[in-house]
Amino acid sequence: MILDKEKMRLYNGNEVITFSRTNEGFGELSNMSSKFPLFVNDIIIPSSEALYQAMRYSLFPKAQNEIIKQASPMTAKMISKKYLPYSRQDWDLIKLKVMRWVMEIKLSQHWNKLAPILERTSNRPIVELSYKDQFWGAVNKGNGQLIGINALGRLWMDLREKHILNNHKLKCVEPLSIAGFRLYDFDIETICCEDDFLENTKEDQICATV
Amino acid sequence: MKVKAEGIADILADYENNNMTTEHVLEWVHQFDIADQEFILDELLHIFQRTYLSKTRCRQLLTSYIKYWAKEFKYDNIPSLISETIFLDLQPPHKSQKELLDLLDEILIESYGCNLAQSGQKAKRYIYLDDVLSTGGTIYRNLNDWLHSTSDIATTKTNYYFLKDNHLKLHIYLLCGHTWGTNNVEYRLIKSIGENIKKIVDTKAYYWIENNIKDYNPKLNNMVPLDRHDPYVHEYWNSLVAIDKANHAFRPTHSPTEEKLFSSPASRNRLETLFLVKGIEILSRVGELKVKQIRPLGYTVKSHKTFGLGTLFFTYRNIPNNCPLVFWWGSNNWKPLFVLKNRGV
Repeated sequence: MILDKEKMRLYNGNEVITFSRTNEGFGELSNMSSKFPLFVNDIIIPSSEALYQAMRYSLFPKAQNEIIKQASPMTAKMISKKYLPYSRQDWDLIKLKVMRWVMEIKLSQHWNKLAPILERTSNRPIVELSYKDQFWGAVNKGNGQLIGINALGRLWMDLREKHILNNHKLKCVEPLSIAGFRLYDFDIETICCEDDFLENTKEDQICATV
Repeated sequence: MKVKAEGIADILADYENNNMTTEHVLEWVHQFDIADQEFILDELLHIFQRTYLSKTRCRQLLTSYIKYWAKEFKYDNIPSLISETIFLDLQPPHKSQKELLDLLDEILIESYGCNLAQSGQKAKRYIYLDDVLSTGGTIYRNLNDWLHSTSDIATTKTNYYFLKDNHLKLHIYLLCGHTWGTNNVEYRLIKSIGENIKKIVDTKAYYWIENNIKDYNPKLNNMVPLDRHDPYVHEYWNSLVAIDKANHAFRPTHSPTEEKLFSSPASRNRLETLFLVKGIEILSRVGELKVKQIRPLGYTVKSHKTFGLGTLFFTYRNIPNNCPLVFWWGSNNWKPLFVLKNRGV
């Protein structure tokens, strides 16, 4: 992948919050965490990684199903690679938007867990520390500095700015207005937050999506 | 007609709440237009053969569950399996769970020289047995309350932590499960208790109804009508107070991709429409409904703007109220095929 140098960022390692492995500090922010299953069109999606990968094949339900069936986010990513030739042709143009949408759903449906974690990052830069991926994350230059586009970290910072620092709870996430943005051949519904699951214990009522 | 009605009466012969005679079946079908009566009997004969569970079949199923548990949990004799298994008994006496446990008890006494009173001497696993998971409301409430309540065995812990700390599992065994409702139960438990619940609770069913139209290639072995733009149907639909899930009300024309329950796609379309329209007609005679979950194709979630679950699975002890109304509604000038035991209307 050719990286746009203008979009690269340089961070001082000792001034930032980094996340990398899911079982280490701030690992909850990783898409590889399996602690944050999502609920879309009344279907359980085991992880944010699985949803992101599935949307790459939004006109190819068979690939989506095989990705979503995997309990492990890493396996979901591996299965996704098998179908790469079937990717949406506009994938590189829309993937950042899709990732943001996926992360909004994750934040909205797990607000009670993720909002305090984002609060703990204060105002510090958030960086996904990677060994080689300078698009979604940043790599260690060896001199205490981290370099990369850090798209995932920057998306978290943006969500933090909008929803945590401004104390504006993310209640509902609208579907993206992209042609053929579908799951199993169905348009994706507006996805609302977890409160609906935590209340309504007295009625057989469920309204995760409207 | 008479032969077909006889065939249906034979299949449903052991239904416990009314006498299933040929005359009764004929009397019921005569409430439909004369041009549709024979077709209805033909199609129901086809469906009941597949999805009516007689008491004999239910006993066979429970026996196969017992054998499956012995194999799965590695026991060479059933009394040991039973003594180390706790069967949850969370529903009121007249409900399905209690009756299934009673039947299980009978089988254990007759065939395996043990009984349920001997169960749970050690807690190596928990089993929640029930007949039908429909919207999942009952199972969610039962299990969520139980998981949050204090364990009888370790009184300093909730049942959830007792299970987790001791690496025990809670197995849900059903005669029939709806995948849409099961997914809702699973996700609600994840939200209420934590994602670890996935490792603790699992659900198995003898018969799955794949009824989330938005899932991957669902069988739709239930009734979800096509939108034929019938003003009568739309007038009813628009009159519903419920607003959620309106896009689950009708199925797409291409779904299901393969017909697994009805005798043909054309028969599905015809029977769904007949039962939907007749159900609306019955409801129009009722006036204002006190129970907002009631829809022409059966009970569903109160907030859903749909026509009902359209369940086509029947047991000898009671018809699920998620089945189309034409089967079980018993007033407003309508005679039911199956008299409902706990109607609760």
